[in-house]
Amino acid sequence: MTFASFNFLLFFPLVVILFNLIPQRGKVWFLLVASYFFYINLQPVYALLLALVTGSTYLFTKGIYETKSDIKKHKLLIWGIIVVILPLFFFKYFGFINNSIFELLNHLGLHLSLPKISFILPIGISFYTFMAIGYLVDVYNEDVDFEKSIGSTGLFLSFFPIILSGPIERAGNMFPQFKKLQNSTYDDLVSGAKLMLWGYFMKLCVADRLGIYVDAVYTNIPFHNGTTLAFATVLYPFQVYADLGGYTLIAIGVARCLGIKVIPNFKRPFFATSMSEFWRRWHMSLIQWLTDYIYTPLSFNLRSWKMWGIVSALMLTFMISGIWHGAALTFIIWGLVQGVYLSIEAAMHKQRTEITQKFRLNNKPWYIFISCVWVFVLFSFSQIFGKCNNVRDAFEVIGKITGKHGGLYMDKTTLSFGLFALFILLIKDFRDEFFPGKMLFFENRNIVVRYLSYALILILILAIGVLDSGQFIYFQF
Amino acid sequence: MQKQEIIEKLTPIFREVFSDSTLELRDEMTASDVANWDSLTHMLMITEVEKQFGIKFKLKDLNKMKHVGNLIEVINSKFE
Amino acid sequence: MKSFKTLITKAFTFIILIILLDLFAGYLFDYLEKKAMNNNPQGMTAEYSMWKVESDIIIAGASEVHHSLIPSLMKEKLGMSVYNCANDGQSFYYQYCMINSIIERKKPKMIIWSMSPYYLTSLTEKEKNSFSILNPFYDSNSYCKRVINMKSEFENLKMLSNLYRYNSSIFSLLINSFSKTNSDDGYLALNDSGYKYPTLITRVLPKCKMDTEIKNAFIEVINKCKESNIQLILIFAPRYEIDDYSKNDCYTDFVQIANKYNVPLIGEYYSSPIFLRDSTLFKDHAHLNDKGARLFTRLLCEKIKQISLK
Repeated sequence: MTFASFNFLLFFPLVVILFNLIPQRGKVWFLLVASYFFYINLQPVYALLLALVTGSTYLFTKGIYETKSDIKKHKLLIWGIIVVILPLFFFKYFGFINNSIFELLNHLGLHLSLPKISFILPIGISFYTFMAIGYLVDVYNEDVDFEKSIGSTGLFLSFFPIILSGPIERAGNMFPQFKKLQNSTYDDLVSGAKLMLWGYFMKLCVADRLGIYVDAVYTNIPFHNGTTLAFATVLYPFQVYADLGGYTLIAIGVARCLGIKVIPNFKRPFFATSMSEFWRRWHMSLIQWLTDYIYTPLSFNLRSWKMWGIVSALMLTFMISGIWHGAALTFIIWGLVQGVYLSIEAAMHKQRTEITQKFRLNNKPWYIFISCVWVFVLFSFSQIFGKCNNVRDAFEVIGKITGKHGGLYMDKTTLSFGLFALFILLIKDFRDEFFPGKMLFFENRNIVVRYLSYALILILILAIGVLDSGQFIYFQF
Repeated sequence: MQKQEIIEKLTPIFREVFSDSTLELRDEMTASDVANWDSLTHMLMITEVEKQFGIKFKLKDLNKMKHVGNLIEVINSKFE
Repeated sequence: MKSFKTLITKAFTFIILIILLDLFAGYLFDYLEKKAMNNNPQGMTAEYSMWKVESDIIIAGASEVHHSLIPSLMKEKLGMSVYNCANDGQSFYYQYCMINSIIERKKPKMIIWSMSPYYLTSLTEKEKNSFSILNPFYDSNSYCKRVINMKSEFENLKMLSNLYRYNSSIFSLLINSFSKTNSDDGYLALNDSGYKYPTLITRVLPKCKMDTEIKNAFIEVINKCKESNIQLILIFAPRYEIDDYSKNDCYTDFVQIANKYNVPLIGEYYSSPIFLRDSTLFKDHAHLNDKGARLFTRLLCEKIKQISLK
């Protein structure tokens, strides 16, 4: 069951009710059981893997904490990271590396037949692996205490709201909350429910709806012209924002209902005026993780190279980000493109700041608008690599966008629903960005306005949300 | 080294790296208080501080520097 | 929690509000549906097929015939009324419901059913999701109810909500209520002047297994047609592909069923040179355009005449 399934709508209230009935000292264990139940429901065998990774993390962090010797601490850290990252490496990247080596040998004329192994990726492995590594490093740096309770450790790595798609949480944020679990307050339940409602709206009405159009175009690249491809490329970032953003908002809402505060993942990314700012608003938990555990140590060790040190650190960090998303050359290119964007911005940072300060550009609406649009253009270009299955397709898309134009492929139902819902989403983000606290709906003081707002969104979800993806026209087209 | 000395030396560095000629340092000041202080410029600032004070930070030190006050303490500790 | 009572009361109030709004939505959707059926009946493909069609010849199938069999042409050649009940993106169970419903309402003389052997394989998630087009008939039509309930275990609960039932249909309801479309008795022409990317692909179709339940439902329809004296004709529509069915059990099983029950199967146009040599007859590798539809309709009518004469 995923969030968007009916079963989850039965599972979730049950968990909340039981959570509130169980005494304080049993709450962590209850959530642990619920999380494993949730996971086993999806992929029974891999629950074992999750348990093993949890066990290893526990033992290594214990070792790091208890050892007095600095050298031993360091060794345990390195080995801990290796052990924890091994499953991720194996499941996600083995096939890719295997095939890449195979193709390389093929090119050189050696035709070997390597065994073709393909595994289904364990759900959540990219997330819980990173969380475990973060925890190991935090204990080593003494930023976080070793957590003695294996139940809490297990819960940290399996917590059902966040295991599927994040946000990527930190030990420092989760463990203290686990120690003080209380019954849900009225505020928790209402806030959580509101977050979930908006998250479902984003996911079902915006993301899945736009996704129908974008997929129809991108799975048939040879049949579509540049105009259609350009339009789909413009829609795609909105789709991803609504998808991942919506999904993680549901996760945050679910956790909130249980009184647990999870870090946010998105902060109105399309109002960023520079790529650096964009990456502080988009998939924040991942970027924060990469910054703290990869970029900072890396750029610190390369700081003698000055700007080149920063550039190298950026390129490598974003390449890792690309690889984290998937084992394909397109993701690596995607990562490199981000690195290039940020490096150019870093190098031109001084000049840009001078000019914007001299002409007070940061207060001018037209400057803000153009900056946002420019950032969007840069990002949607890079997303062509994120969306296409291989590099050839990506270049075909780019070629057509710059060359072959024509009539726009129309799917009236899908576009009218999707764009309408997107409009609502963007208006809300716009209000939050530039007029926070004004024109409130979910937060209005008047109960009638609030209830009608919730009702309207719920009705939209039922009326135009993609509840069963049964609204395809003939897909070959 | 005296705290005041450190602040006097730090201020021009901060003003230069973060492009803010009016910046006044406070103990509780963090990156979120300064417009141009982000993870990119942070490292430039660190390098500049090392150069100006003739010290070398360790990665562990970085983690301890949550705000300017910590930074000053860590710089101070290098002279003990 | 001292505000426990408040929470329950508020939640309860909200639920009542939603139920009322859902009921109101139900009335609104019913009204729009009636208005749409009055204004542009042939635009409401599923509803028209289920409730209104009374032609001598019914065409059933998916997009491959929705856009390639022309009733007006067939009327000329065969001298009988024809309606193209095919619907894009739909597969076996939609056609099963529709054919059964039409037979019960008014028996046609002939049913031309475009299928592919893959129709009789087990249901995919995508296919299950496409059942939602039958939602308007859930209460009134037992076939539809049975098929819709196959979607998921809680489908009957979900169908209690009007908003859920009419999910995604508001746009087409509004369009059909306020504007008219030209429909040639169900045929929708693909007007482009030819296939832009004519790469002729050879597909070796993989092994597949027939689903027993679906196979039985298929035979049920065949028998029903026999009992009601309806000439059932199975066809394969043209594709711009060369398909190799040699490994494909479904294909042999399918042909066996047709033979066993004496149902004529006109399959020769499927990967036929008549169509493969001219890519301008196609919109894409799976669909004929209007030019191709004219040719296919003509050829098929000749074949049908021969069958009827026997």
